[in-house]
Amino acid sequence: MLGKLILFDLKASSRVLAPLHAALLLCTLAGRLFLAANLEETVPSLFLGLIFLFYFLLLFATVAITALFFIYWFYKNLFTDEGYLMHTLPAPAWMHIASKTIGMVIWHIIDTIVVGACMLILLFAFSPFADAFPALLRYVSAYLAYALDLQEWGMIALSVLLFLLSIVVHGMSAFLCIAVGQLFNRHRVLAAFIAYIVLSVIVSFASAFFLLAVGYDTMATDVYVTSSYLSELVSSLVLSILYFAGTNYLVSRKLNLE
Amino acid sequence: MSELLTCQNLSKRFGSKYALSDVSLTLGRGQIIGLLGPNGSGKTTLIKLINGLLVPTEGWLTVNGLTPGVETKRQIAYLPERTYLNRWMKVRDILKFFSTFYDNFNTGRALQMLDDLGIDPQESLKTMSKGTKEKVQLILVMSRDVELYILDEPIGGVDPAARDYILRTILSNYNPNSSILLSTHLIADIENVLDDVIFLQDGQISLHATVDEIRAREGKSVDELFREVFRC
Repeated sequence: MLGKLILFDLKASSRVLAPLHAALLLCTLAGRLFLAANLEETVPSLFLGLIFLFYFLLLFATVAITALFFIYWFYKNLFTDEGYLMHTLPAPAWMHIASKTIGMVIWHIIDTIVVGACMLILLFAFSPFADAFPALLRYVSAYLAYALDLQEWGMIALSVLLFLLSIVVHGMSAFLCIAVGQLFNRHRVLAAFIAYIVLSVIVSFASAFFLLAVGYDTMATDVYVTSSYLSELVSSLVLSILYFAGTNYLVSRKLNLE
Repeated sequence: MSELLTCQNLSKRFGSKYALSDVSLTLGRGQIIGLLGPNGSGKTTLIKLINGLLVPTEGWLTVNGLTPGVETKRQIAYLPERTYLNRWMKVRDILKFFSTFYDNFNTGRALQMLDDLGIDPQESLKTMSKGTKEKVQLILVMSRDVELYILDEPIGGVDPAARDYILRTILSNYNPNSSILLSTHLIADIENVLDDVIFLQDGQISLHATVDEIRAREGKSVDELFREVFRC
């Protein structure tokens, strides 16, 4: 059943996100051809500026819509009229939450790959960058591997895990706030926003308090990278579990469809 | 267990207000039961509790001996009064959705009913009228082979001709071991198909009797009795 829900969520999200990413890729390829043809000297600068503006707006919109889509979809699909259909499917509440979280992670991965590829496609148009890129990549990963005292693959795996967890923890915090907002009979979206602000404040205070309690010293640079990676990993894991459990409780026990 | 639905001292409170208070009820199999009452009497709250969309504040209920959950959702076909269809889907997409998620969905029956009502499966839900969407929803619900059908205002938004077809559809499509719990304001239209009637008033059951008992005891139709009991 979880697989079916994930497929449904991916299908619904692909309607919006796939054309957006395809358009970004196409525009990037067109831009690459434009740069390769050295047309910038013959095209009026105003026109050139407009093309750049359009491109960066598209890039920004793609990233922003991807970041927000599943938060909107979680609300719309589970707490508006569509909720009457979804919550009477033979699936427990946790599957709905998990399905939307997994869909969100998948689209963030696609988004990161597409946006990264677009940046590289454009940057490789400039030969100094193209020449320096392999050395740059090795330098960054070697430095981080040294700082963490890990093998290179271990470093990459840890970074990927942190990246995925950061998506989960941000998305799940929004899901929890939407589940809190739906407890109210009116102004549910506003209530969700207020819940988000309150939650952010609580988490900031709690993490500051925790760091003080364990005597964490941000100035100790020799352990800075390692400890920030690990503390981020642990806090993201703990918060994800708490947010998931809270959302699951509210959806399964306190559902309040209009 | 022979009872299809059992509610025992069931209450649901929102804030300080009880939407449903101390309701005890059993429903058997092979019946069409009218759940009748004015707005705000607790009909939809009771229906949501049975469907697991709400959790009781007090008391309990079972469907086929099971508390509401994944298995009871498989056994109940529910038509809410809201239009829950995703606007971006076509009719054939929502048929696929139902056949994917419900192993008891009969696609052939749904296509036949769509054909009878002149609805094209290729049609987009976005461009449909509210009445047509209601027909599609009812077809989806009645195309499932389940033990309990719960229809919340199934005929409110459709024209009288379609209403007759829908009522005939309801009667001809349900299994004799199944029951239908039907909530509506249009009592006169459905009175002839009902076996039992439940009157809800201020969150409590004020009457639970068979239609024959009401006619014999009160000497009037359910519609007349309803208008008398709930006179404003």
